[in-house]
Amino acid sequence: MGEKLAWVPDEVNLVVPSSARIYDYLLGGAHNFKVDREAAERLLAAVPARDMAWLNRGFLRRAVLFLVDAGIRQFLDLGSGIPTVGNVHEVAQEADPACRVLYVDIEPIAVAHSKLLLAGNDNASVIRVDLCKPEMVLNSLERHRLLDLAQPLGLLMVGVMQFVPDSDDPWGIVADYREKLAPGSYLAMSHFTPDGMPERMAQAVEVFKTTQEPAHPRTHAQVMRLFNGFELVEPGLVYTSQWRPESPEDPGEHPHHSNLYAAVGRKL
Amino acid sequence: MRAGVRQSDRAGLARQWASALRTTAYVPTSRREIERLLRELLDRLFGSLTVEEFSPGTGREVGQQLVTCYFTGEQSLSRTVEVLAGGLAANSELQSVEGLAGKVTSLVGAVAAGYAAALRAQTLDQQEEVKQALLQACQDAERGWQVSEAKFRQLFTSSAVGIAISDLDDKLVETNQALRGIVGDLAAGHSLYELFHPDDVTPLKNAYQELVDGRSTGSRLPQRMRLIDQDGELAWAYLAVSLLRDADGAPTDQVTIVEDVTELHLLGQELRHQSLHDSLTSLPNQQFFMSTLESVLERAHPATQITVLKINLTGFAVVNDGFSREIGDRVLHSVAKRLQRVVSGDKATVARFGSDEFAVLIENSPTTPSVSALAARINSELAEPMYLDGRRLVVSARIGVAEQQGPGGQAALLLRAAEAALHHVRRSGTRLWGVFDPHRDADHRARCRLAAALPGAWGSGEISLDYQPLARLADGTIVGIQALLRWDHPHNGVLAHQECLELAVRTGLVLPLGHWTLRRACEQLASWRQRLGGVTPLLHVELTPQQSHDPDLVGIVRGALEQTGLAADRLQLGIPVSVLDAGPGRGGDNLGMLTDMGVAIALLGFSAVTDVAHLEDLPVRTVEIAPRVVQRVARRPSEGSAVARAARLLLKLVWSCGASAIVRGIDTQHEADWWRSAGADVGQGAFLALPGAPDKIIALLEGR
Repeated sequence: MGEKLAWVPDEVNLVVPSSARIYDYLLGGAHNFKVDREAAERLLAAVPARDMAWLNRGFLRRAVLFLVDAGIRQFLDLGSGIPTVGNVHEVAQEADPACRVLYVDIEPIAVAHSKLLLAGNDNASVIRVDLCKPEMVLNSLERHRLLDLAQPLGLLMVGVMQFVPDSDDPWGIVADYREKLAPGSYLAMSHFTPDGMPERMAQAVEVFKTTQEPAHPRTHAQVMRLFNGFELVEPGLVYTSQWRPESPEDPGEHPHHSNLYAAVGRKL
Repeated sequence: MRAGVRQSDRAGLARQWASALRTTAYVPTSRREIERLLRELLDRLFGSLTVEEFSPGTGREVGQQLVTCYFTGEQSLSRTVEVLAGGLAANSELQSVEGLAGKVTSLVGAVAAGYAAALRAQTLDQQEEVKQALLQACQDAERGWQVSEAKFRQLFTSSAVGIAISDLDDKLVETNQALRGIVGDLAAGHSLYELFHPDDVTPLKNAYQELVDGRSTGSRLPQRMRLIDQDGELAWAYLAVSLLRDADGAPTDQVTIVEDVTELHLLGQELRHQSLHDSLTSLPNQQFFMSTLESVLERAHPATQITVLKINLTGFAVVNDGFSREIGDRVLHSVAKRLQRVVSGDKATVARFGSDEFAVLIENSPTTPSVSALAARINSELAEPMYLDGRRLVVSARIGVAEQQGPGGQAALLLRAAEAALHHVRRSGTRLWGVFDPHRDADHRARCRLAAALPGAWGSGEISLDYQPLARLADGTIVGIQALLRWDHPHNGVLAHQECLELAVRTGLVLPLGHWTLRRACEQLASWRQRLGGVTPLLHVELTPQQSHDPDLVGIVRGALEQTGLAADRLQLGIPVSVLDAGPGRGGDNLGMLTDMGVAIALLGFSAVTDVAHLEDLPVRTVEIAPRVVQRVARRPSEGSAVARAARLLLKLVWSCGASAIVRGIDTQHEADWWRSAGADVGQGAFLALPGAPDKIIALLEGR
C-alpha cells in the first residue's frame, strides 16, 4: 500500500499515515494499513503510546458516563476517528439507549467507516466536516437534526485539539463552539502535553510530522485556556489516568506517562 | 462451609485471571464488569470439567468470548493459558475429577483454538470493514465530484450571475443565460474580449496572466468593468476570474464571472449627482463648486485669469416672506437660469450655495468681459422683471469678486476673498459689486484680531481714560473736560478713543465699557473737585448710539453721580442726533429723564440745517458739530466754499435757537479763529491741548 492507487481519489490518502488509524492500531484494532502500523511502531519507540491510547480511551469512557450521570443525553464528538472499541454511542447508549451521538471527522475513510458501523442506529450518525470550522459544523449539525443546540449537550474533544496548530487559533475555535452551546452544556477534552516527558514527546512530535496530522502538545496553562468560559468539575485539569479513576490506585506511580491532560468543564 | 471455601477459591482464580489480563489489552468496560465476565467464563469452564461427559467445546466458546470482549492484546492469550492451566489443575474443588490433568490440557487447548479462530475472523472482519470503508470513501469522493459537477452545471445555467467559459486562447467556449441577458448572444469561438470595452481589456488580460503564471489563485477584480452588448450599449459589472484545471492541475479553461451592476452604477451616478447638486435649481452645490475650483487651480494655464464671483441676492427674504416659499423657489430657479445665460459664452461654472447665495467660476478667455461689464450684465439680466402668478418681481444682486492669474493657491482662500469683497460691498450699502482688495482684507483681519483681544485687555488693565479740555473760543477758558478711552496695546501702541469704541461695538463690549467710562470719569472729576476746592469745568462724556438707547442708562448715570457725590449739573452727556432721528423711542426718553435730573445734554453730530429741528422740540442747549463737517472746513477754509457757507448758516441757526455750539477736532489757531468768527462757542483740539493722563490735566487746571 506504499504507492498511490489509481482508483483512490486524492482526498482519500493511503500513503501518509493517519492518526485515527494509528490510534485504532494502538487500541488493538485492525482497521489500519501498513503505513499506519509502521508509524505506530515508531511512536512506540519514543513514548508509551499504547498506554497513552488506553488511558485516553478510558478517560473518554469515564467522561461520557459522568455526563450521562449529569443528565446529558446528546453528544457531539469532534474528531471521532475510527470507531474502535468503546465508542461514545456504545458507552452512552448502554447507560441510556435514548442518548444521541453525532460524530464529526474530516478523514474520509474514518467517516465512511463510521457510516458503515452506524447503519441502523437511529440515535447515532456521522458527518464529514472540518472541526476547525465551528460555523460549518454547527450548521451541518442543525441541518442534521439529530442534536438540539437549544438543549445542553456534551461536547467531546478527546485527543484531538493537539492536531490544531496555534496559527488556526484553537482557543478561538473552542470559544466559537462554546458560544453556541446551551447553558449547562459540558466540554470534555484531553490534550497532548510535553509537561510530563518533554524529550520523548518531542520525538513523538517528529513522528507525527510524517503523518497527515502533525501534533502540537501544549502546556498545562495553554490547555487550561482552552477551557475559558467553562467551570471545571473536580479534579480539574489532570493527567488522563488521574481524572476520576475507578479505583484510587489506578493512576499508578507515573500518571505523567499518560502524556495527555484531561478535564471536563461546564458552560457557565 | 466447604462450598464457601470452594467458592472463594474459584473467585480467587477469577481475580488472578482478571489481573493477568488487565494490562494486555484495552477493554472498554469497568474493572468490576471485567471480573464478573471472567468469573462467568470460569464458571462455564468449571462446569465443563465437572459434567459426566467431558467435551472441550465449552473451551472454544470461552476462547471466542474473550475475543468478542476485546481481550485481544498480544499477551492476552498466553496469560490466559498460563492462569487457567496452572489454576484449574491445582484447584481444590476439581481434585475429585477423574483424569483432571488431561481434561484441563484439552480444555485450555480448546480455549486457545477458539480464541485463535475468533481473532482471525475478527481481524479479517475488520480488514474487510476497512476495505469497505475505503471503497465507500472512494465512492463518496466520486459521488462528491459528480455532485459538484452537477452543482456547477446547475449553477452555470440557473445563476443570476453571468458566467463565460473560455479556452486558454481566449475563445469563448460557453456562456450562460445570465450573461447572454447582459451582452446578447455571442457564439462560441468569438474572443472573450469582444464582450468588453476596449479600455477594460488590459486589466482582464493581466488578471488571467497572473492566474496562469500562478501569481494569484483566482480573484475578484477591484474595479468596475464595462461590457458592450451587440447594440453598443454599455453595462457595468464586477468581474471575478478563475481557472479550470485538469487532473494534473494544468489549466484548461478560464471562467469569468460577471456581476451586472449597471443599475447600481446608474443609481450611484444619480446619488452622486444629488450629493453634488442643488435639488432646487439643479446647479452644482458648494461642494461641487469647490472641487471644480480646486481642479481649475491645479491645472490652469499660467496666463489664464481665474475669476470667482460670489453673488448674494438683495431683498430675496422679502420675496420669500412677502409672497410664498413657492414663489421664492421659482425666483431662485429663474435667477439660476439667468446667471447661466450671462456666462454661457464662457468656460464657467454657476453654483448655488444655499438660500440666496450663488457663485460663479470663470476661466477667462480673450472674449470674457471685464469684471465691471460682467457685474453690469448680471445685474441687468436680473433687473428684467419676472412675472410669477401675475406678480411682477425684480431682484438685484450684490457681487464680490476675486481674481487670480494662473495656477496655485487654495480654492477656499479664493472663495473667501470673493466673500470678503462681497462683505465690503454689503457694508458700503451703496455699491453693487466690488473686487477683493488684499490690503483691505489684511486690515480687516487685523481689526478682527484686535477686537477679539479687547475683552482680555480691558480685564488686564490695558484700557484707561485720557482727558482732553474743551475751551471757550472767545477767551480760551477751559469750560469742559472730555473723558476718552485709551488702549495701551503691547504691540500696536496707543489706540485712541474712536478706535476703541469701534472695536467695542464689534465685540458687544460697548455697553459695559461705556458704563465703566462714565463711572471712572465721575470719580476722576470728584477727586479733582476735592483738590481744586469745588471749582471745576463740566465733565463731558459722549455716548454711543447703543448707550443712548440703553434702558439702564438713567439708572447707571444716577448711580455714578450718587457714588461720587457729583452734582448732576457738573455732567454733560453727548447723545448722537441720529438716535433722535430714528423717531420716538428709548433714546428720546433717556434724554428727557436725564434733562429732568439736571444733567446737561449735548446733541452730537450736527451736520444739517434740519438737525436744528431737535432744538425746537427738546430742552437741549448745546450741540456738537459733526466731525466730517469740521474736516471739510479744514480742507477748504476759504470763505467762498459751499461747505464753509453751510457751516456758518448752521451755526447761525443754532445760535438763533438759543443754543451754543461745540467744535471738536480743531488743529490750528487759524481754524480756531475761523470757527469763532463763524459763531462757535467752544472748541477742542490740538490747537489747545491733546488728550492726556489725569496728572497733565490737573496741572493744566491748577495753572489756570
